[in-house]
Amino acid sequence: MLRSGLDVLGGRMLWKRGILSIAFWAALAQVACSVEIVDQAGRKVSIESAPRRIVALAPSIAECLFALGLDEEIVGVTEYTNFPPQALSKPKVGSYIHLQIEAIVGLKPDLIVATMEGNPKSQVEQMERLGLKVVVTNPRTLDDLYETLLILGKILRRESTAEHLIENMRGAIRTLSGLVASRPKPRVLLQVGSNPMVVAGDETLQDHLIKVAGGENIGASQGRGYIPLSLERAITLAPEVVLISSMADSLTAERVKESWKRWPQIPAVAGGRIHVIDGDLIDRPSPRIVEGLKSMTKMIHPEISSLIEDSLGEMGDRS
Amino acid sequence: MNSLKKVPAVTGSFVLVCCILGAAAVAVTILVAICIGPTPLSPGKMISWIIGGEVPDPTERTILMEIRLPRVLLTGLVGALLSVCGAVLQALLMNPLAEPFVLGISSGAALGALSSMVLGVGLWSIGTSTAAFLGAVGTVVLVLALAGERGRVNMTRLLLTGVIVNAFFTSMIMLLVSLSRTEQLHSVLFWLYGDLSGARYDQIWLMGASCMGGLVVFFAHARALNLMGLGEQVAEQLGVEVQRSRTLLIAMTSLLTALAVSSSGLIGFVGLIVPHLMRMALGADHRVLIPTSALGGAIFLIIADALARTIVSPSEVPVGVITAALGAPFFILLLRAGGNT
Repeated sequence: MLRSGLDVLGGRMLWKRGILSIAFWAALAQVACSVEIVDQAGRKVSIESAPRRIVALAPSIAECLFALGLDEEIVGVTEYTNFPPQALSKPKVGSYIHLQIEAIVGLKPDLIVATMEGNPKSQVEQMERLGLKVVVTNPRTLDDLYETLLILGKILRRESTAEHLIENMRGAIRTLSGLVASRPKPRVLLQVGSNPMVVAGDETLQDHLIKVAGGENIGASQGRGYIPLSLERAITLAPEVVLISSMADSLTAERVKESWKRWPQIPAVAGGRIHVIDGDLIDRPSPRIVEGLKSMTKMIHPEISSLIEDSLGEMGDRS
Repeated sequence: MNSLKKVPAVTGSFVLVCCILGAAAVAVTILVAICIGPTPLSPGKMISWIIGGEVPDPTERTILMEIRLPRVLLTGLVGALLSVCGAVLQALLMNPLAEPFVLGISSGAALGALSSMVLGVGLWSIGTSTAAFLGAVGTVVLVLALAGERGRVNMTRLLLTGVIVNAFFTSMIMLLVSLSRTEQLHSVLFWLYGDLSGARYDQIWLMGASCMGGLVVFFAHARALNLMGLGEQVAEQLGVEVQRSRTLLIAMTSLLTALAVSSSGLIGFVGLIVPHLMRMALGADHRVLIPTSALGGAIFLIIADALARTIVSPSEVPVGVITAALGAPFFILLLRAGGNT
């Protein structure tokens, strides 16, 4: 066939065509290899080949990347990145809110994963000016988090791991929602800071979690974001459950818990329903949030805590 | 006070020698400062690069040329501007406590910057630097307007007005801080204590040109400043147009300080102590004091920033913390050693 074609069209011409078509297929292969995505800041990012040196600009992002099995590829993390344990030995590039650009450049990353809430915009822009590839994530709800994981899975060629991870998370959350669906919703106040008291308001990740865990976030009635709340207002809001996110150290959280006990007129104090919850598990949009959600649900609905444990018992082992 | 009035005569060649030595010291400081940073670069490579060789590694070249060098240059320019403005204002206001922020510039700039950070949405988002610059210039205009009387400016009144406006704006700043969201607070605090990390070359060209322009104007007024130190009437008898010079110099120092603040945040102490150090070391003649204050300010701030970048690596402390921590004890020591100068 080829032989006769050569005879008919003349050797040189077909030769030329052959070269052209090889170039065409090669180009196509190249295109297929590069991945183009729209990140969660709405920016188009194209990634030529699977990144091999990744810097994670927040503890939550590092957790996501480790969960996708990228232990080797992560070359830099930010301060306070404390999970999983192998993250502790990775080089630090400053705190997520004030990055050391020089340290990041020095790691020669081929991908930087940033977070819109936290990383300063000016520093992200500076890194792009320096020719670094930055993908911006913005997980504010569980659905956003699934999207974050899918995007990262796609760029990093871990799509099936990401899908599996998301399926597990969805399953656990579906189970939790089912368990609390028909229960009354206690009035929950989630405190994220003390002196002044700061609580989780509307449109925060924690607000979202409280709703999923079958509670009513009374902080949401006070406005959007994280809201400084006067003690007087906290008392009049009459929370039935107070959750204290363990911030810097557990000692402070315990002291904050003690200080609530001065106000026995608050239902939560009277009922002894003031709990310290691991801040890392509810502040960080990462797969570990399912664990945080599980302990939050047990705190809001202690009457079904053994049921929750039975239904989700194996969850702790997986993550 | 005394130190401001004593004006020993210096020769032109003394001025020249001081400038050349100072410039050489600045050059050495810059070279040392770019060698310092969280990423270790081998000294051998650095030396060959300084001599004129290429840095082969693209990453190291980026770190040196795109991150460290612009930052060090910007730092030097900010230090020079703050220091020289301090020197001029100390003479103009005849007050050894004067510094670039004395007329309310710092609180004005901070109010502008914080407004853009905290309230900055939609129309109002003009960028932190621009907002700081506008805040600074606006404040000085306000202070001058409040203190002026039939076109004349009384220096004591100017100083007091500056202090009061400063106090008022500081309370406004606290109001904004208390209204700001938790996640904004960190960048607000960093800005308030000086942040040089985002240096860019276009900034440096602007600052460099302004710095040169300012120095020329100040140097041209060096003799006038010397004579004004002897008192307004004496200066006028000796042919200095006191009111005209004052207005021009106050406007100039204000603009330059506003520029420095808008690109670096509030960096205290440089404008106060460097001119005093230079005066103690080289005398009160402004022909020497103006260029050496600029050069000394550049050296001082570059050293302070190099420390700010490295002492808690890989994090950073605000440079204003370092200038105060370094400057205060050093200054006290010199003051005591110098006795009654």
